[in-house]
Amino acid sequence: MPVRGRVFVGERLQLAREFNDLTQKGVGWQVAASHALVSQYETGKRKDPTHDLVEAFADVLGFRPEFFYETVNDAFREEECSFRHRRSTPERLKTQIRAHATLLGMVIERLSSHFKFPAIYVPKIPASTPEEIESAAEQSRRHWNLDLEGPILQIGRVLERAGVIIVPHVVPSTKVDAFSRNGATTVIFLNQSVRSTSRWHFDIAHECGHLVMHAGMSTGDEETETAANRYASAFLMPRNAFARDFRTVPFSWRHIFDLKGRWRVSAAAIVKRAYDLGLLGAVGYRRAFQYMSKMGWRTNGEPQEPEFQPPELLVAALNGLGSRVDMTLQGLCEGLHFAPETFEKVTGVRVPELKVNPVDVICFPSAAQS
Amino acid sequence: MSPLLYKSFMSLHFEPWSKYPPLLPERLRIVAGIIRDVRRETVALHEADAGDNEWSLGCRVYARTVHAFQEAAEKFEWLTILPEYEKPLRFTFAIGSVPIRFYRGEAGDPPGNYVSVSYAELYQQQLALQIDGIRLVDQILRLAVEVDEKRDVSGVSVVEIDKQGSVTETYKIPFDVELETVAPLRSKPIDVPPPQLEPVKNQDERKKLKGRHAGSR
Repeated sequence: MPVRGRVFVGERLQLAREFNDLTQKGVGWQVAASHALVSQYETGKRKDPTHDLVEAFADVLGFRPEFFYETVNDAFREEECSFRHRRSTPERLKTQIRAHATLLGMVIERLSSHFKFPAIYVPKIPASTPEEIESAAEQSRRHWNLDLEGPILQIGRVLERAGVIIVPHVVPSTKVDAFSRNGATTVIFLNQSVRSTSRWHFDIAHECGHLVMHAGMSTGDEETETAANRYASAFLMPRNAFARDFRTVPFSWRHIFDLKGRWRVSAAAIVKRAYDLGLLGAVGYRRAFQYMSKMGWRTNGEPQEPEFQPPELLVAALNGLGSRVDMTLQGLCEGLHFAPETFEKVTGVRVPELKVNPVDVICFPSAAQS
Repeated sequence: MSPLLYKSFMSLHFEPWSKYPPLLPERLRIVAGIIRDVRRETVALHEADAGDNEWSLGCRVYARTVHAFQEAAEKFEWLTILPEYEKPLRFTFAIGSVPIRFYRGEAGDPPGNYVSVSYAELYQQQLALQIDGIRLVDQILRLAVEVDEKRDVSGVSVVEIDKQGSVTETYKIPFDVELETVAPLRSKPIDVPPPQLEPVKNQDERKKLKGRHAGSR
């Protein structure tokens, strides 16, 4: 029930609408209002929607009416977010993901009062030239007590231990690989609808590059994306150790896939790294990519994908509800004023229906007994 | 002469540097290394599916080896490239004052066209005599590049050939690092422990964390 005397927050209406990938016109049509009216409520030009209209907004958008009467403490602003995406990614998809992230931020904020999440421990090292980026990646490894020699088996854990929450989100689009946010809650969203574990490893390292090198900077342009790619390569495959491995035997695809299994990155990333480090000439590099295209690996995915350690922090917190802390999943969902199906969309975790305890049920006496 | 017979004429342990002082072991190893590495890199680029064949591979290996020698000649003062004006594709180099050519084939069976002496080589032989007192009139030197079934270099030998084209001495150059004997030095993968998530114990701690989340985190 909307609480009398409390202010309707238009920003929350916009957030809920964007999360559902609806236009103002689309929402207006569903609640039998004009798009202009929806716009006025969102921008705060009108502040007093009727009880029925709020109920309709809540029903259509998958929230409880109370959701619209609380402030947005920590909105994911555009300048805080980095998207690893294709150039053709629609702006609307990015908006939807940002809304999803903001809702997830609300979940994490609430969980933070019940669990001690690791404190943020990400180095800030601005870098732009290849040498600076290589150095930033090496410094990052040292910062997290990782030597400069070995492949990292669980890249996600490195970030999660540093307080970055990784969310395996499902976006029905392969146009966005990953997304990160460097703010009060630092999050990496991983698009697992792109079915490639080697890419997920690289995506996490790429977003890590943005968090390390581009704090407070606007990203998404070619320069910052190239820098983040170089960082990811350098972080996952430190130059000396990788060069030593690469040179052990002459170039062959068998060797590349052997390296792929060891370094847990794609064959394409290995070939690119070898080229960047001067271990493979321009002709060899071009040939290798031609071969990969011919084999269909660039479009249909590569063979011999490595194992992937799924993100653990958020799942551990959600699974710990009810058992490790005095809050249940249902309680969390209700406190956030999310509909159960919305909670599932946001977190990937289903809210179980409350089971009725038979002891609490008083049976009507049967006809025979009476 | 059959390859089996030539061996009977050879001394037991031919050491090129004792007869031809500029052919020091370390220099020979560098030269053999260039030949081996260039071939290995070129073989990696071979694409039979795209139309490459043994002829194209041979041409490419030869051109790249010549190029690598030219680059090495700028680095090592003991290595020079001889100008072959009569046949520009012929490649002759000199270690110190000693002229040498290389061919692909067995050490005991040099191809006929590699037994002939060009004007550039003849001129260098005279210089060897004048500079180092090395008499090369009756002998010529070649490097035999032997290749295995994977098309990689299996061995490079110094071959001494007499006027009649018969092999009189051979010496197999040891590589600095034998590829087959190198066990890959691989560092251990880093196994990262899972992140720790502790429940908040009491109300005070909860308030403190809430404040931290909204502020500095």
